[in-house]
Formats: sequence, C-alpha cells, structure tokens
Amino acid sequence: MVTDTQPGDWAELVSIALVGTDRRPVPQAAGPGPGADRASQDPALVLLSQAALSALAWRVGRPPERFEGTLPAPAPADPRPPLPEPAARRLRTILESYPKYLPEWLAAVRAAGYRLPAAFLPPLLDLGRTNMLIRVDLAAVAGEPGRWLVAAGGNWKYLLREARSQLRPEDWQSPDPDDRIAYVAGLYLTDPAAARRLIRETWAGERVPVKLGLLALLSRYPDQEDLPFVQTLIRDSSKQVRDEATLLAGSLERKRDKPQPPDFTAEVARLLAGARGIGRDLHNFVMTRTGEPWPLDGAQLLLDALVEHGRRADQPAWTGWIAEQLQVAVADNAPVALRDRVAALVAEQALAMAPGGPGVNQASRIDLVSMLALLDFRRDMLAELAPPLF
Amino acid sequence: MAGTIDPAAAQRWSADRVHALAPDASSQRAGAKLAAPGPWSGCGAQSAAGLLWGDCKGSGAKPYQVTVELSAEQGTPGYACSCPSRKFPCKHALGLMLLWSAGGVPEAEEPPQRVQDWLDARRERAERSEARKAAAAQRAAGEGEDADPAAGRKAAEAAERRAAQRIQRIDAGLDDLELWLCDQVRSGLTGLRAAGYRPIDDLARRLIDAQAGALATRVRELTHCLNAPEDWPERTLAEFSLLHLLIQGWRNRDALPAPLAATVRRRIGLTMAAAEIAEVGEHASGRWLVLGCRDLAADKLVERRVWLQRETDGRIAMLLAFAPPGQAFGIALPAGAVVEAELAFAPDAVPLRAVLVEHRVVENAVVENTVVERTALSQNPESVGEGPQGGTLDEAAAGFAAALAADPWTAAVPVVLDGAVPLVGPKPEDWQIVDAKGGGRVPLLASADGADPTRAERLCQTLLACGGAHPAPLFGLYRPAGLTPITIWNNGQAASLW
Repeated sequence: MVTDTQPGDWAELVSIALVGTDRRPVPQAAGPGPGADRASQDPALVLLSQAALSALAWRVGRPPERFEGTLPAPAPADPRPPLPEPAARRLRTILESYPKYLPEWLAAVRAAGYRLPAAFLPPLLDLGRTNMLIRVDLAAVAGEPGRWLVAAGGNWKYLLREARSQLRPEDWQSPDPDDRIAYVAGLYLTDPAAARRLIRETWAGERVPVKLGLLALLSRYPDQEDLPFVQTLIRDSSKQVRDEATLLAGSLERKRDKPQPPDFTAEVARLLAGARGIGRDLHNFVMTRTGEPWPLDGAQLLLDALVEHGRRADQPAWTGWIAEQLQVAVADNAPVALRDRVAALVAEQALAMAPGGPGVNQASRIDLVSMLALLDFRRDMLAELAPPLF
Repeated sequence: MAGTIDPAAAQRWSADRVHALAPDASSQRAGAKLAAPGPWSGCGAQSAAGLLWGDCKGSGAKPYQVTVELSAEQGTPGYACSCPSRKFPCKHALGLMLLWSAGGVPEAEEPPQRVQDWLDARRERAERSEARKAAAAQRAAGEGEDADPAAGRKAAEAAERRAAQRIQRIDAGLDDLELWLCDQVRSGLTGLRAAGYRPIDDLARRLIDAQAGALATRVRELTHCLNAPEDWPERTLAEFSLLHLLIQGWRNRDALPAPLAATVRRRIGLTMAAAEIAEVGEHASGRWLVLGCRDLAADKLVERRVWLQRETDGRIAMLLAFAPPGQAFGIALPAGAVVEAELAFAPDAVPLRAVLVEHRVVENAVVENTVVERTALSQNPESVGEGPQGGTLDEAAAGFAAALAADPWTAAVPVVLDGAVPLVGPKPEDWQIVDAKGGGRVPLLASADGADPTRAERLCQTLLACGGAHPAPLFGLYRPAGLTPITIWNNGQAASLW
C-alpha cells in the first residue's frame, strides 16, 4: 500500500492513531528521528516519534488573533475619595460574617460620599439583586462606575432603574424605560410630590415596562394619597400592570384601615409596665421594628428591663430565649450612643463577679459582653466612615 | 487625614498578609469575625518582635489563651492557642492577628508569664532541632576521622541503594508505560476513548508504585484530553507523544544537557528539595514584586504558587509551598507586595521554580569541619504604588514558543500584559482578553488549571470591575488556547482575581 502524504504530516498521524497502526501503515521517516533505531521495528513507536516532532508545531499554536473592533468604553472616573482602608477591611468582615449590618454600613458610606474598591462591586450587586432594601443606597454608593459595570456586562440590570447621583432631565426624554424609571426614582429622593405628579400626568402614554417600574416606585414610597390613582390602574390594559396595581392597592387599603404604628418608646414602656414585663407581647412588638433606627430612650428602657430580668432567678425558662433575642435586637438597632451605658454595665458586672464583690447572685446573668461586642462593632464601623476632611 | 505617627504601625502586617496565613477559606471567615475587640481581653503586642497575645472569649467559661510569634528570624510563624481546633493557625490566632493589623492591640512592655514560658519552650525546641540537624550533618559528612567511619559508610551505602532501587522502579514503570502507549496506538485511540477512565487510572496507579508521581499525574490528565469536545484526537496524540518523548528523555538523560536532564527528572517525579535548590541553584537577589498567588487543592495537599517579578529586569520566579488542608503555608505574600530577597532557581531548561534564601550562615561553631547551612525566609513586604513590567500578547506567544522549544512539556507560561482589556461575552467561556498595546486578542480561560468553574463568572466580573476596561497591567498564565488571569492592576493597586 502506498501513501502519498509526507511522513510526519500531523493530520495524517492523528488519523492513523485514531484507527490504530494495526489497520493503517505508518509512513517511514526519511531521516532518523528520536529513537529511530528501536522504532524501525515497531510502527507504533515510529508513529509516536514522528508525532512528538509534529505535535510541537501544533502545540505552539498560532500567534494571537488581531483585534479589529473598537475597544469598549472604559469606566468613567469617580471623583469621590476612596474608602478608607479600615472601612474596606470591615466591608469584607461584614460581607462574610455580619451581613445584617450591610444596610447601615451602605447608608453611612453614602452619607460620607466615599468610592468603593471596585472588587467589591460584583458581590454587592449580587446582594442587591435579592435585597431590595439596600438598592437605593447601593446605587448611590456604586455611583457611575457601578452603572458602567452593569451596562458593560453583568446580571444586575435593576441598578439602571435606580436614581443617578444627579437628576438628568434628558433621562426623562430617553426612549429607554430604565432611564425614565431612574429619573422618577431620582425625583422621589429630592421632591416626592413632584414625582407623584409626574407619574399621574404621563401615565396614559407610558409603555408597560415603564409602568411596571413606576408601580414599583409607588409601592416603595407608599402614600395614602396615591390610593385613588392606583385604584384606577386596576383596569389597565396590561395584565401585569393590573396584577401589580391590585397588589399595591390592597396593601395601601390595609395600611389605611390599620392604626398608625405606635411610638416606639411609649409602646415599650406600656408593654413593660404590664404584668408580663419581658414577655411574648414585648418580643412580638420589638421584632416588627427591627431594621429601623430606634430612639435612644426606648432602647435604654429595653436594656434596663433586660438587665433587671437577668438579675431575677425566678423567671420561667422560656423567657431566656426571648431575652436573648431582645438583647441582639437592642445591640443591632439601638443608636450606638447606648454603647457607653452597656460598657458601664459590663464593668459593674465584672466588679460584682470579682472576689470580694457582691457575688454571682447580685450580678445580672444577661450576656452584656456580647452586646458590647456588637455595639462596639457598629460604633467602629460608623466611626471609620466619618466624612473625609478636605 | 493626618494622624499621629505610630512607630508600631509600620511593623504591623497588612490584613492581606494575615489573610494569606489562613489555612482555608472558612478559617479566614471565622478569623475575620473574631477581628473585633469584643471577645478579646488582656491583649498586648510587641510589634517589633512580632509577638502578640490575648484572651479570646469562646463558648466555654474559660477564655482561650492565644499567642502568636511572627518574627522573621524564626522562619515560620508560631501559634499557640488553648482551643481544641486542629486548624493551624486557628481562628483565634487569625482574629488576634487581624485585630493587631488594624491597630486594635496595644503595645506592651512585658509579655505575661505564660507567653514568656511558651517563647522559651519554642526557642529551646528550635535549638534542639538545630542541634539535631547539625548532628545529622556531622554524620553525613562524617567520613573524616573523628566521626564513626563505619556508620557513615553504611548510611551512605543505604542511601545509594535506595536511590538505585528507585531508578530501577522508574525504569520498569516507563517500560510499562511505553508498552501501554504502543498498545493503544496499535489498536487505535477511539477504543481508548470508549474504555473510559479505568485503564488510565490503573496505569496511573502503577506509575505511582513505580515512584514516578509527576508522570502519574500527567497520565491522569489524559482523561481531560480524551473528553475534550472537539480536538480530542489531536490533544490525545500530542499528550501521547509527550509521554513518549519523556520516556526517551529519561533513557538518554546522561546524554542530555544538564538543565534539560533536570527538567526530565522533574517531569518524571524526581523533585529537588528546597535545601538542594538553595545549594546548587542559580542565585538572584533584588527587590521582587509579588505578581500573584494561587492555591490549588490536590489529593492530600494544597499547593500554593506565588509568582515574583524582579524590579530591575522583569525576571519572573515561582515559589511553591505545600500544606495539608487546614494547615498554614510557610509563605504569605499577597499580590502587590514587594519583597527584598535572595532567590535560588531550581536547575531547569526554563528556570522558573525558585526558593527563598535569606542569607547563608556558615557556622563552624558546633563541630569543626562541619558546615551547617541555614536557610530562612526574608520577608519584608512593603506596599508600593508601581505596577509590574509587562509586554504584549505577541511577546507572550513568542515567550511560550521559546519555552516550548527549550522544554517541550511546557503547558503555560507566566506573563504580564501591559495594557489588557477584557472583552465581555455572554458566558464566561466567551470572554476575551484584548491587548490594547499590541493589538492581539485571546480567549479568557477562567477555569483552567483545575480552577473552580463555578467561580469563572465572578472572576470575569471582578476583572471587569477592577480594570474598568482601561488598558491595565494584567498578570496571568498564557497558553495558545488563551490566558488565565490572576492579578490585575488599576492605578498601581493590585487586585487578586482568585
């Protein structure tokens, strides 16, 4: 059998190897290759030796292809001062271990006007996808580089519907639904009444994606005055809009029929004065108010009640769990000004436990040290984010 | 913001450097959680001596007592903690170091008694092990009159016998491999592909028995070649021919130039110990920029690779460290740090692997005529605002070709691009790296070299976010199939992508 290919032709060698040298002969090399003396007896070795030479050319590949297109637009410059190094380190800790403090942290960064290290944008934008509560602050903190990143590639399109750092009237003229929604979102931050007016005036002409975005804004900033308008939307031509409007109208109606949420401090005082003190009713009330800042006097009332509760040995066992939950809630939501009071109580507790002190019986069994640790964490977190000095 | 200048602050490690000591990601997280002052009491530090101590409140009644010594002269850092964790360093030690790194541990004059006791014990242990090493060296060199000549000869003979035995085993293993390769080529690669991983796994096991570990790993990777979707016949035959070439190289190793022979030995699995590299390798000192760091989990060990670039000439070196999962690495060098160090390069056709050599102390004190060599790490990383020195993609391709010509088994070469821009694709596999200076483009390989494919998307996103699509210096591993990015610089700031 005669083959007319050159010995060592890479494609030919590959096709021989595929079916095996038992079925197809190997072309003999003209000169001695590596191991030629042994190889001359065994077609398999001949093939491997020839392949070793030819494979090099295949493996070295081709020079990189030329790039012909235009480079993508680079990220815009961010004039804000960079986040201080300790705060960047703390963000890592927050993301890994204390995600519950992220909203407070983001709000403080936004207030101070710092720029985030870019490497944190992807994980934060991922969190914003599921956590609507942080979106406003996240959009402000991510700033124009964040919007650029989302537009350049990434699955975080929601960010484009959030307010820009400055209201741009041209956004309201834009055909892009995201731009129009972002404009109204920005208007809500500066002039809510104007935002509501704008929604009502232009509603009829809007397309469905814009309408859905505006409905989301109406439900983010609920206002009873919107109710009659929202009720008219229940007859909108789009089913999606109808469904969303029905949901929003229902929630506004429920809020209208329910009494105003009570003043935090007064309600805590009322529940503590009741026969049960630290009990289920107090716990239920306090847990509905987590995630919002508490007044200092109300937080202090709760703290004192918890310390007193810890001193008494005759409490039913189930209140221990409630007391623990309340402790964490106080540490997470109280103004950090409460920290000094807790520190003083910790010192008192240490004194009571010291030899020669009043002894264990006088000391509260409440875990003040853990509370202090959380409050310290929040205090340091906020202190690191003091606005930069110019 | 001007603050008071704190002399201890300069001696404190950066948080990144502490994080690099963590044995694994979960310890890193747990340590970060403890890096708040809350659970700590009785903390103190002597930053100049790299000594830290403190009590950490745990779940039990008694707080855990933690001590850390980071001094450079001891080489590897030392940790002690009364907690029962088997992680080393444990989360308490990491938390204390992070707290210290953030300036949360006050400087103290005198360490408490327990710390002093621990230090003394540690010193004593170090001295004992030095003395043992010296005694061993004396025995090894003890062909002189004063040592026991018979014992020395016996030990040398035993070592020689072991080495000869290993060579014999490798010879037999390679004969076995050659036979196997020929069988497959005779009956056709299609049959091997259909047979699954089993025959390859059996062969790899036999090669491990033959003490040719690196070769066994190479053989295992044949499964990747066989499973490649498109060009599997080419890739498999290429890998077959490389194995064949390695067998030839081993048999003719005495005729090869010394560096190439060293490459063959390494590729078979006869690695050189760090001490030997320090002795015979080519030394190079200067200021080195840490280009990047990657940890790869292998069977029972985690392998850490750290690439350095010399500031004067751009030469790249790679440090290797191994640690069992959950244990600390000896080297903790974050990307972007600068090290003043003397390195020794392992002999190789393309010298890349190196070991850190701080200084060479010739001690004649212990026993006369006995040379004791002590190698230790010299790590004084400082943060700098300068990026690495890079080139173009075309230069990277030329560099790969040159490396392949010198060492035909080269898989990838470390390269620095001067102006890289990521080009976004719909999926991580579709992204590309464009060289804004040289005009080339290559695919971005986000999940090559055993990297976690689920992290590929995050790697692409981080690359885009950190570089901002500005042409930026990028360090990575180049192969003709594409580039695996490891570190990107933006305004002189290094961002690690792993």
